[in-house]
Amino acid sequence: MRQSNHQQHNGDDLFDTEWAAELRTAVVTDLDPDLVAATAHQAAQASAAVAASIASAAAAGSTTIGGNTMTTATASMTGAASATASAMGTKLAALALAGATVTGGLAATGNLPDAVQSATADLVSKVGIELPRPDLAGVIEMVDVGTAGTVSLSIVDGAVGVADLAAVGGWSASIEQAGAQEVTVTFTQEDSVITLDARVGADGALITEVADRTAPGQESRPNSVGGTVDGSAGIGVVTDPVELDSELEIGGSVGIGLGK
Amino acid sequence: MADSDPLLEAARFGDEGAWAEIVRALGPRVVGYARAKGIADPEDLMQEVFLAAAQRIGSFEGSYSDFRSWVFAIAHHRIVDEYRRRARTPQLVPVDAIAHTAPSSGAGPVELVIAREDVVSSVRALDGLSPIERDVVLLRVVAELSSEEVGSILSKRPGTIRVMQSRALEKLKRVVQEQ
Repeated sequence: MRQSNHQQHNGDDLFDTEWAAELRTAVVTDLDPDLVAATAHQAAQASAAVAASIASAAAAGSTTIGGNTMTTATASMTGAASATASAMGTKLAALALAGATVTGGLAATGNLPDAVQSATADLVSKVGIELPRPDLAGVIEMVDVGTAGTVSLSIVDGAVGVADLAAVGGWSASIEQAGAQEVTVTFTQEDSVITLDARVGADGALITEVADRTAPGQESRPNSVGGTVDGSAGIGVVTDPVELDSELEIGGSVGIGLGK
Repeated sequence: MADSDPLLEAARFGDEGAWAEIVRALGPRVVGYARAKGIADPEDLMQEVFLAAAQRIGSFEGSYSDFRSWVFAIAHHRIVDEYRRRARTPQLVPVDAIAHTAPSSGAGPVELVIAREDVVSSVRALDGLSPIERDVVLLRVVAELSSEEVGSILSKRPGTIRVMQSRALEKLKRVVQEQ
């Protein structure tokens, strides 16, 4: 069993007080073993399915591989509750995947879909094999920010970033990246302000909200709109981008946040 | 690249035993954090958190300590989502339940917890903190995360977290002395 993390703390901080101990005792209690088992089973199945899907996607892009080896290995991992995955060893599994992809697969040339390519590269890099990574994260959603412009957002490894931005003439824009999972783009034109807030939900989905922040008494703009799109949504493309305003302010990290 | 944690590597490939160890180690604190934040079904949220982590562990890199912080980040965002969902969805609460559980006014999530008569004074003391101070205190005390880790989750600088913590501690001392 892992021990909880005991950090180094200043002598006057909360951790040394009876109050803190009482709070922990009050809210932190052992879990029912059945709940632990059910949660672990659910998580194991989910992680095994993801690992298998990555491997399968890589295999599908392969031409001449020891494909049976890789497919068999990953298929056996799908039965997460079994000891197969443990017995096989993760490095062996990664090597099987690496062998499959590097031998003749599209991953070796970077031709898999970005998400799969990135995940595959992550996986096999753990055994010292480097595959090409996507040059640019997939643009998964283009958001129309009222009358002010458009923003193309991307998610890579759970991090949201601005991949492209187009402001309508007269509007300027600024980007504020508040951590890997949240970004705000603010469009301004004189007294008018429209914001796009984008964040990654706990389930990995991209959540966006466009809101008119114009101060009361100023020019009125369309009401807020919002929406949620799944991370696997189709690729959005700025078909007719307008030249960026010359006053465009770029703050924070523009573009793709890798969140690592 | 740093060596990956063997436990996480096993979990990445669906080892149920590895996940059981992770859930036993982190689950109680995730539940505790959710409970102190006033989530109605903290065990259910904990399951959602680990499911989300499992679905995304393929892209996770880092130490076990990083993973623990990541899990609490997921929990925090899930709780924020729950608050937003509540704000959009008016709740119908039986009068009896209000009388039994709701505080006098301005009830926030923590207040809903501390209104319970059986809740200890330590939890009740959180009532005197601002929402962000509560988050700092709970993530530091219950989750036992560092200032840097809490700052990462709350999108604040570590120095800001330490200031918030210090301010919260002063408030808590006053409350405890008054009790």
